[in-house]
Amino acid sequence: MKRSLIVIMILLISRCSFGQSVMPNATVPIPLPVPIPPTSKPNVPKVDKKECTADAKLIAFILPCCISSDTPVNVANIATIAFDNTGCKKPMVIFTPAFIEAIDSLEKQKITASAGDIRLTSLVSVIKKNPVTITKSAPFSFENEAEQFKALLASLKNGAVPICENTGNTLPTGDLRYQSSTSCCEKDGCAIDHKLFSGAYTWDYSMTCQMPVYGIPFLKAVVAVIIGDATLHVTVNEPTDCVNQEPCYAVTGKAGVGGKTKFIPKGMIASDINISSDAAYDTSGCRTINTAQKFHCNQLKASGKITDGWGLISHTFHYNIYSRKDNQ
Amino acid sequence: MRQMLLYGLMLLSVVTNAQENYFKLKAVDIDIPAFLPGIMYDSSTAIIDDTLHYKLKGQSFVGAPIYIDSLTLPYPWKMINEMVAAYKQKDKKRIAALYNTTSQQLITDVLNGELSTEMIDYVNAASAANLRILAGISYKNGFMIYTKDDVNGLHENFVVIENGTYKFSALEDSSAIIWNTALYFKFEPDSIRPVDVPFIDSMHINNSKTIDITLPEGTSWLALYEGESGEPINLLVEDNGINDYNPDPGKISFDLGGKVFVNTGHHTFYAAALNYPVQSINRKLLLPKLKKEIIVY
Repeated sequence: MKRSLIVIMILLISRCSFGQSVMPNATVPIPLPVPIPPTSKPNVPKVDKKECTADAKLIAFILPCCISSDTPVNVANIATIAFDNTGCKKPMVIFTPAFIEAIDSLEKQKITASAGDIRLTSLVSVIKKNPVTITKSAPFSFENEAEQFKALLASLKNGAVPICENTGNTLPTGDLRYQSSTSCCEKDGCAIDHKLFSGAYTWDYSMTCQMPVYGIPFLKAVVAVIIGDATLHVTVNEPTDCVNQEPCYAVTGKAGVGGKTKFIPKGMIASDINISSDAAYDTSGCRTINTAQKFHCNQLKASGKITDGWGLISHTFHYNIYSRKDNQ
Repeated sequence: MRQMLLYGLMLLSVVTNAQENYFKLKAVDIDIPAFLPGIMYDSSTAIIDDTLHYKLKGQSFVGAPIYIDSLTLPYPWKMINEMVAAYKQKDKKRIAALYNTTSQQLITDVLNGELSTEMIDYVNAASAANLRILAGISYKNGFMIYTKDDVNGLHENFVVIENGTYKFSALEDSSAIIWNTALYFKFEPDSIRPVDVPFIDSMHINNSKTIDITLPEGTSWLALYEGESGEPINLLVEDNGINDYNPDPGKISFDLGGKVFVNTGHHTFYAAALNYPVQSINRKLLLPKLKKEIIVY
């Protein structure tokens, strides 16, 4: 009798001191008070009845970022809750919904924990252990590259306002696709789409500008037609995973700027004036979806052969129209 | 009578001396700005203070050119007189006789070809447009005579001595010296001048403002630029030429757009007036007196 009384007292004290653990059936029952027999000893610690009548308040409700499961998950089993110390009486906590099912997306599900007049919410991704793999076209645009390329050609204006026309558009051709499946990452415990890419996009762009060239001694100026061409390909070589969550778009290809004079002026038997450059596209590193790597053109050259004096005197020439020291 | 004879002898002496003075081979130092459009790299001369220094042999009349119709000149300048006369007469035989043996096939082909009339008209038009001799430079086995007219600009005439007689000759050339020298005579570069550009302190990158400027005397180009040596010029305006819509000589009107400065922000740029175009920035163009400020937003 004495032993059972001590056990009952310990149970009672432990409830007041450590709170109630969450039971698996979503609602957390609060046991009825255990009657204390009148014969109990006076050395049992007194419980402050006033303190025990106050409910402790639910102050925290935390769910893992991601759960992987093929069966419905009991929220009570994965929730971490905490109460304040305003009272020793822990109220019943109700989770809504009590069970959550896996969905085939990264979308997080919202769960509410209610205790008395306190409602707290938390989000959780629940994904299947063997998720469905889906295949999609990867969105990609060369709009930024097109703007850059226009700016590059404009910078070749050589002091004049260039007259430029562009052909091609910013939309790539080809098909860059990815197979996507969702899983939880160990690193931060959150869900991610693992993407395995295949295929490629190709972008062809061209601009034609007219530009004056003054450096021919026997001509006041000649109009050179400058053509800028860019052909770029984009692929993704590595799948995304928990460590590399953003795809690394590898853009390769070439850009060129060059041209010729438009006509043979009077006095010239032959006029073979070529414009060339070191125009290039920076293919190092990763291109993210919203940025563009830079086109460069640090040197523009004129070269060729002109024959003037009605065919009697010819000059072979080559000179820099400009030569930047640094990348712009 | 004796007095008249004396005057006559003196005049003859002056004319003879004048003619002799027109052909005196001497050292000709030509300093060419390295940033003239078209300048070829030349390993034979150093670029000092952004200038190519050529020590040549010949005669230069830059600043005081010889107009062809003003004097009968001694050889080799006389070759230009003879060329003008032969083309004026449209005498193909006489024209061909001005050229040396190795050039006969070339000149005969042109004179008998479909470009014959065009060529003769071209030379006659040049003769009627203040054709003048700028210089003659000893080169290879001959003499390169530079002439210029108001319509077509610079011409080159290569003259050699064949059997004791001056003749025009064909020339196939790839040297930087002759190319750069020709550019010097094309542009006849004068000093870089500051120009008062009535800029606003700031402007929106998508806006533009019409700027009216009277160019300093002797200049015909305005260059606006920012950046470092070697970089391209931002904007060029030529009096009655590119980007200018003011027909009055010496005055230019042009639209200055914010996009000339490419990016928004505070810009330090330069405004220079020149008598030739520039296509890339050189240290000589980055003088403090040319410096301007603008904020592009």
